[in-house]
Amino acid sequence: MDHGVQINIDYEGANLEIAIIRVTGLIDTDTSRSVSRALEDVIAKKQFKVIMDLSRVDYISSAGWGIFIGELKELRRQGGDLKLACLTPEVDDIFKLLEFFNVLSTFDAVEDAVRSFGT
Amino acid sequence: MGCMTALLSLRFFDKIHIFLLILCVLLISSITTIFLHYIIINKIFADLSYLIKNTLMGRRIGGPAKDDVLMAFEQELTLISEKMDQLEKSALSSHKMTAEMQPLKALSPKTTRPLCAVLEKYSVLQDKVATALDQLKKIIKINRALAIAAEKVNLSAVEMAEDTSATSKTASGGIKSVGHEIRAISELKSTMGSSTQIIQELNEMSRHVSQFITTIAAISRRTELLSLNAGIEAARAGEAGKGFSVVANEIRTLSESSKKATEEIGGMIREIEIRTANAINAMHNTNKLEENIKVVYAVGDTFMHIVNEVKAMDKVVGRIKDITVESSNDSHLMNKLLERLDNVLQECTHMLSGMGNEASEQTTILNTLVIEYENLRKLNMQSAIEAEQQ
Repeated sequence: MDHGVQINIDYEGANLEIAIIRVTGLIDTDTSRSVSRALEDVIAKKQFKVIMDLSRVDYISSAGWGIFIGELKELRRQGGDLKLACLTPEVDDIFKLLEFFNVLSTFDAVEDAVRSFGT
Repeated sequence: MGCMTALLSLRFFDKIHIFLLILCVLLISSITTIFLHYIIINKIFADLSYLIKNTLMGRRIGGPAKDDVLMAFEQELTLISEKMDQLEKSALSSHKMTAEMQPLKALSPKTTRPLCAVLEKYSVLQDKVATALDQLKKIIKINRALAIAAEKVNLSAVEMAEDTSATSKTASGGIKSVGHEIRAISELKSTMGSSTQIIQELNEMSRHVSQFITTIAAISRRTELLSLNAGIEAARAGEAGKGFSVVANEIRTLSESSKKATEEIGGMIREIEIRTANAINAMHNTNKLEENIKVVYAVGDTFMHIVNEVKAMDKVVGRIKDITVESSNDSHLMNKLLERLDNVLQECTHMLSGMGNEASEQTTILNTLVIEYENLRKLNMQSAIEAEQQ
């Protein structure tokens, strides 16, 4: 656990092929490294279907968004994807302003994101 | 009934006025009656005096004239007696009237004093209303100034709202660009990471190829030695070994060619290894890129803060604008209400002024009546005393 951020990873799906990374706190320049490590660990385990549960995240910095965008290519190359769920209004505002809806999918609930993987 | 209704509908001062007038009329009629009786008595006394004088000089009058005089004297005495009775009655009536007028005397100050007090209070009230009117006019002036200031603030707030809205749009446009930058640089970072990995793999493959080339070179050298040995053995064999000597020469030629080829490939592989090593070194030397990425992220964060701040400011300015509009409307409304109050107060002032004048007139009338009453009372008293003396 990094200072200011808490990360838990759960697995869902028929073969537990979907990794759900639950983040609590702020994803800024410092804490984004922890999020990046968590994503790299998941990818290292050949888990290419990833959901970020952001229901307890009040702020995501550029570095945080950069991690999502950076890992997205590799995940999709491996047949997976990165999906964002339960964005808080503050995070959703920035997400829309940055126009990341062109590259990242968002869902109101984690269950909706899980279903979107076709499981 | 009609008279009663009319009487009831009269004001207090008018009632007192009428009451006092009736009393005055009664007094005047009583005094007139006493005065007439007094004149008659005087005449009777004059006649009596004349008769007594004539009686005393009776020797001048004689016979029937004397009887006539006596008869006339008796008649006069009878008349005097009657008039005396009437005078007594009038005196009694006058006393009664004086007694009846005593409560009026007591009532007069009671009536005038509250009226004077009321008049004083009217005066104070009039002053207070005038002061309130003056203050109200000042408040109206201040409120007008406030309304003008509120309108100016409102205009400024509208301009500020427009500015912040434009700033918000610019910042939103800017943050879109930041989004594209973050996306591009993150993808570049990811791509660079992948490229480094590919080049490292390529380098590994080059090393493997180099090892193969080394092996091939060794084989080639050994083949060359074998071909040399074969040539020597073929020479020893003489004529029988000529064919074998040709094959041995061909093998040596092939091994030399192979050696040259492996040397060329080896040179190329070394070149690839050097270049890939340089590329890997260049890829690993990404500090500048990382710094640039950090700068882009920092710019992005700053933009996000700016946008958030501008949005918050936009909301605050919007609220300020709404408040100033409400304030301006309230100020206009208050101005109208104050103007109405001003009109009402002015009406009150006029009414008070009229009432004060009326009260003053009533007081003057009442005072005059009291004086007249006092004069009448004195006259009546004097008449009564004179009647008693008579």
